[in-house]
Formats: sequence, structure tokens, C-alpha cells
Amino acid sequence: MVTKEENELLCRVTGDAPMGRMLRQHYWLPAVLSVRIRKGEAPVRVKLFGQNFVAFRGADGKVGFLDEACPHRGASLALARVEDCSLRCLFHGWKISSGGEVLDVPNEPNNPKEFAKTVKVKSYPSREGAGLIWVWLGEGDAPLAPDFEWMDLPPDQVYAAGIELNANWLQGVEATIDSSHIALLHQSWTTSSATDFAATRENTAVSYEFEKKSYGFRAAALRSIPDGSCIARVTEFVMPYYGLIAPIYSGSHQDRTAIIAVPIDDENLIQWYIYYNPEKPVDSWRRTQRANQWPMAGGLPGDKSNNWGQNRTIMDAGNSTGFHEIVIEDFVVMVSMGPIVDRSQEYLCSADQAIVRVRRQLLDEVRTFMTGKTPKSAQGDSMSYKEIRAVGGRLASASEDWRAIPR
Amino acid sequence: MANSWKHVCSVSRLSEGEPLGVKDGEQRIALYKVNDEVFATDDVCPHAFALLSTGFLDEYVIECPLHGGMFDVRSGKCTSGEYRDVRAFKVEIRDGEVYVNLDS
Repeated sequence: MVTKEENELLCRVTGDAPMGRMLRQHYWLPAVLSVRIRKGEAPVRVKLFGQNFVAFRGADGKVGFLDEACPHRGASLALARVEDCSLRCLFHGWKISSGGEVLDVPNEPNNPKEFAKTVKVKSYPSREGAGLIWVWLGEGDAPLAPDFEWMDLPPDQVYAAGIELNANWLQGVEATIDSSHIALLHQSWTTSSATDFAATRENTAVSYEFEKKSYGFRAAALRSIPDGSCIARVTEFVMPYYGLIAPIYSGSHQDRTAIIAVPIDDENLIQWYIYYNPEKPVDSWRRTQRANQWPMAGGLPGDKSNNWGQNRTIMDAGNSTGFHEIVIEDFVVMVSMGPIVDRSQEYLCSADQAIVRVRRQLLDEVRTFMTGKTPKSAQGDSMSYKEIRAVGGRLASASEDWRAIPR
Repeated sequence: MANSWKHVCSVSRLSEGEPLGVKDGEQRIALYKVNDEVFATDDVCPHAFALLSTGFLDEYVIECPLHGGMFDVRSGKCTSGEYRDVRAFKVEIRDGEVYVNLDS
């Protein structure tokens, strides 16, 4: 449980809100699917932190990411013509390069070239990886983009999908770190006994152990089985909005999932899914179903007025939730909490400890930021993410150490 | 009375400022190392049964992770005022091993 003030500090990310300023200044984020930004096509509007941007692809294939408003008088650059790697505003023909320089001011009668040099334009560094375009929205020199092990995988080993949801970004983050809902919300999908995922049904009671790391923490969800063994599923929480989900099976060859909750504004988020396999091509059947989906799974099948499309008829037949897709189940419960859930009203149980720790870390880091210091987990030259990988396994007993489960 | 002293673990398992949860039969015990001294309380929070050993230790005060109840590990007193006190146990270190008196 947090106070109302703490809830505001955690949730508000637009305008001058400290959390928004901290996230923009110290962390890269995935903004848009690469496939949506095509050479020769209109710039695409992207909204993040309540601010409006456009993304476009120049003739050389490189991506540009600029404020939507033309620096002149604010006309939308979504209307602009794409020339080389620049946008030519429709209104007065000002040409803005992806690097933030004004290259041409055709309507200026006095010294247009000198005048153009005085125009301040914000441009945002970007890089592509895992099927997404990642950007940094801060001021000054950008930190190195995070080097997660999925960033440079070839297309047959990684893909992404995403969805916009009417919920605050923190609800999206909490969805990734909460293990105890798996056997309960997702019980229709955990009945197959072949997977460790299904083993979460063997004991719905979850106890947690944690290991602090420079990038966040590891949360081991431990479930004791009657035969004395213990299922361990270790999720990685990476500041500020990444959850690396423990895999379904043990072993290094399997497909993996990372979920990233990115703020559109105070009441909306993008939930990004990255599916990847560092060692071999990902499952091609699932890839065909999911890659580049926007919205993922076709979006929510309804809205609040019809319980988001929940189908009680299939529930009569045994479906536990009335929804057809496991990810839709996550999205619906998240959105049903309201656009900004009031955490001062909640009543947590022991299975919620991972969520408690996420909030503590975010509050700790934003308070550090508010004193003018750099947050501990800020991205920078010394922060490397490529060794981070969620693991899972069956331990022979509860006293065996989950920290020793190999990557 | 000698029987009420139970050996729970080696001192080497404790880190400064990090609580540790142990069990003696059905009795759950939380151990705390603060400024090189070892303290012990019942591990179960009197409010809603969370384990205090999973909480946050700041000097001599353990904060329960769920609803923020705070307890002084030296006496078990609830310093945040809303909940009942938790039982505190006497601790002895004998040859690097932690002994806890469950009757204290």
C-alpha cells in the first residue's frame, strides 16, 4: 500500500512530473514498431509521456524522430513530405532534418541560411532492434542504448507486438512482475502438465525471494510441491519498465518473453511484447500469429460497457475467464482497475512482495532524481544488460539455491 | 528452562541489515543483525500474517512489506502504533551459532 502522494509520484509522467522527467532523461524506450515506419510513407504520430512526436524513414532507410509540431508555427509534421532523411513542412516548406537542423526556409526574405541556423529543433536519437524503434527523449547527450541480448538478433530470432491500453504505465509494469496470478487468472492455459508453466498449478501459493542487482532485481517465485521439490520461476525486473518473464521450460534453447510498459500519457500505456531466442529461430507458428501485431491479439474484444467482451457462454462450458487469449486476460484485468488505480485503497497479501519492491525502487530512484542526482539504475556507459536472462527450473528441494540456476 | 534455548543457525548466515527467516518446528523466527548484534522476533506479523523476514530493516526497526507496520526488533514493540506488538526472543551466540530462547 502506498499513500496518495506516493501514488501520484509513481503514476504521473506528463508535463513537469518528476517521474516523467526522470524516465525521459535516463532511459531509452521502445516507441513504435519498425514495420509501421516505411520509406516513402507518411510520418507516423507517436505519443509518449503526453507529448506528440512523429516517426519517419528517410530514403537511406534511417529513422527520424521529431516533435510533431513544426518549430515554426506548430503545424503538424504528420502532413510533411518526406525528403531524403528530412521532413518538408506542408505549411511554409521549412525542411527539418532528422538530426534536428533546419536545412531550408524558403519563405524567409532576409538571410535564410543564417536564420535557419538559429532555429532550435529537438531531435531524438533512435535505434532499431527486436523489430522496434527505440528512442531517447532526454536533454543533452544520450546514454548508450541498452544492450539487451535481444537487441541485435536477426529477424528469425526475435519479433515484437504491442497494444495501447487505457491504463497507467505502472499497472503495466506490475502485470509483469506478479507471478501468483499465473495459475489463477490463466488457469485455462496451465492445465497441460508437460510444461513448468503448468507446474504453477501444483501450488497456487507463492513465496518470494529477491536478489538486488544494479539494474533492478531478480524475483524468485517459489512453489513447493508435495513430493518435496520446488518450482522456481525467476523474473527479472529491469528499471524502469521491463519484466523478463521466466521461461516455460528449463534449459537454454527455448523462446523467451520480455514485456515493456511504456507511458503514452497518465492514463494510457503501450504494452510491448518481445519474443526472442538467443540461440536459434523462434517458434515459427507463433511468430506467424504474433509478429508485428498492432494491436496485439486484435485488441480488447469490448469495453467497460460489456465487460470488455467477456463471454459467459464459454465460461459455462469450462473456460475460466471468458476470454480467448492469455494476453487478453492480462490486459482486461489491468484496464478494469481503472485508468489510474488508487493504491492507497488496496490490501496486499504476501504474494505481492515483488510489486511492493518495484514501487519502493521507483520511489527511491525518483526521490534521488528530485535532489538533482542521477538515479542508481540510470542507463549509461557502465550499465550493461546483455547478461540478463530470466530463468526457471525445478529444484530438488526448497533449500537448493535458485540463484544457481544456469542461464 | 535449558530446553527453551533452541539452536537456529550459524551466525555466518546473517548479513548486516538483512533479515533472515528460520523455523524451529512450527515456530517461525525472524533474525536480524544490526550493528553486529543479533536480535530475534516471531516472524509472523500480528496484522495480516506476512513474514517480517521479507520486510525492510532500517537500523533497529523492521517494516512489514505489506501494510507498513513497524516493529522494534529489540523489544518487538509496534512503533507505528497501529498493530499489536510482536514477540521478541532473547538471543545468545555460542561458538558462532545462534541460540534463541522461545520462552522469553
